Amino acid sequence: VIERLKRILLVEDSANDVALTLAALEEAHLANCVDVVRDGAEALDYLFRRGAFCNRETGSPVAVLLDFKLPKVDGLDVLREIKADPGLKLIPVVMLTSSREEPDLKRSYQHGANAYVVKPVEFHAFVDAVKEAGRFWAVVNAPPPS
Amino acid sequence: MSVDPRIKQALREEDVRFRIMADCAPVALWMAGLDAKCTFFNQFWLDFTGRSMEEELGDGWAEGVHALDFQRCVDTYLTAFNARRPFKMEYRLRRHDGEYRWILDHGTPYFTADHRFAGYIGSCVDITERKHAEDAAREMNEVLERRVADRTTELQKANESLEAFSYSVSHDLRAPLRHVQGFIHLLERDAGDRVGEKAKEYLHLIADAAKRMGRLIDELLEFSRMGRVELSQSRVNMEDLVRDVVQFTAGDIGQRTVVWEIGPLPAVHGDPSMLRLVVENLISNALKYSRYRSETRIAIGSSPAENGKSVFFVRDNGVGFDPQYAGKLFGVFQRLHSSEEYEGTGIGLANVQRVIERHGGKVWAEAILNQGATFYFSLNEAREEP
Repeated sequence: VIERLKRILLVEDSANDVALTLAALEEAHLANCVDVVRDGAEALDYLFRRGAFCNRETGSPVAVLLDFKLPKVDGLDVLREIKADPGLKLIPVVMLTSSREEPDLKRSYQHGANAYVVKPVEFHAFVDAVKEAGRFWAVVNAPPPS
Repeated sequence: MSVDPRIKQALREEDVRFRIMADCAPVALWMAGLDAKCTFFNQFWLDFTGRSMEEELGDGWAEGVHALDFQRCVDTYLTAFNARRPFKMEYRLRRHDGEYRWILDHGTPYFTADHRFAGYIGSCVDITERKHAEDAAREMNEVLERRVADRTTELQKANESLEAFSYSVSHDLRAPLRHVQGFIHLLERDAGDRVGEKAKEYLHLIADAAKRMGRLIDELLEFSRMGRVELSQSRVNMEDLVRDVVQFTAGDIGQRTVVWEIGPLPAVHGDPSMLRLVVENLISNALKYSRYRSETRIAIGSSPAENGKSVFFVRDNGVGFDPQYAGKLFGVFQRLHSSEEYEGTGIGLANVQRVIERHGGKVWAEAILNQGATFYFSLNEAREEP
């Protein structure tokens, strides 16, 4: 039961990126732990267990991989809501983006992002980046201090 | 006491001589007494205004002064008069035909033989034509300045939208490219043992092409960034910079014999990291295009500053280029050699030009095919340290 709660939430609107991210997580043996939503509004519904996710099991994901540019509610706003909620703000959030623009990066950290990954063009680098992002999973998966 | 009639006669003659002289003068003349009221106008003045002496005497003349100039005119006149100082003023005066003409009026106080102030003598010239010419010139200038400002704004806008375009193009192109590369990788991973040699070769070619496109996009992004990022300028010691870059490239030289000839180079005012990019680009080009020489010779030097600008050059003995294509050198993705012959995407020199131009300098090149090339760039001299 506990294992089922250890989920990673991937918020990504591009189907191709979802497939590639899942493939990368697969190489890190993490693919089975991933829930995927396709826009910012869905992500918030998932996290706050409302709308289509009102019957979701209780418990927060161990990490959120959050695309920067999203339909409806964009990544930065999702990040802001997560970090403003007492129950969610401790979830590590990894911002994913194809942008190298510095303002994006700065704004992400200002809003409390835990990490920032520029999706590399090279797949190997992408796998490494996703694994790196997934390290939060491993960290949280370690036995909690009693 | 009676005055000697001979003196009276002499004075009268003096008076007549003055009248004749005054009336023959080709300028308007006036005189004023101790009370600042006018006591005399010569014929030229009377002909000009078309009024009689009686009408003009006293303050009568001021009736012909343009209403807009009147107060200024009176103020200037009285201020100077009270201080007994010469004055110059410009005003519009109504001519006999009713047209207001611009007049330059020059008044001088005059004194008797025993140094007593006696009033003013003034002379006037019609400066209407000059005034019109000045106005026209000023107007023309204003129009030109406005036009330049308009054009500049237009250009800035065009530039900004071009920047935004190149940024979004390169930014948005990265995603599908990443997908192509990602799926090639997955295909190799999942079906690698089932595809034939030929198909494997194709997969490699697709991957290479995608990789190259990635490089082009990244460089285009960098190029666009180079146009947008703010310059942070300070004193840059070019000789240290060049020697540093040369030392860094030593690793790429391998077994080649390269003879360097550096400096002395002056300091300049510029953005150190951007100028490093310029130097790196030019030096790596010099090395690249001279790689088949048994002995590569690269000279980096400068000529004395002129008009506050120092000119630097990087000369190699490489393959050079045909001078007729010199104009193409600095274009984005323009190449004079195939990428099979000499690797590269063709954005290096575009970056060099952009950086140098943003520093207010110029960049140009000279070459002889198969004998080497020389690249020049100019930069502002270093400023005095505060």
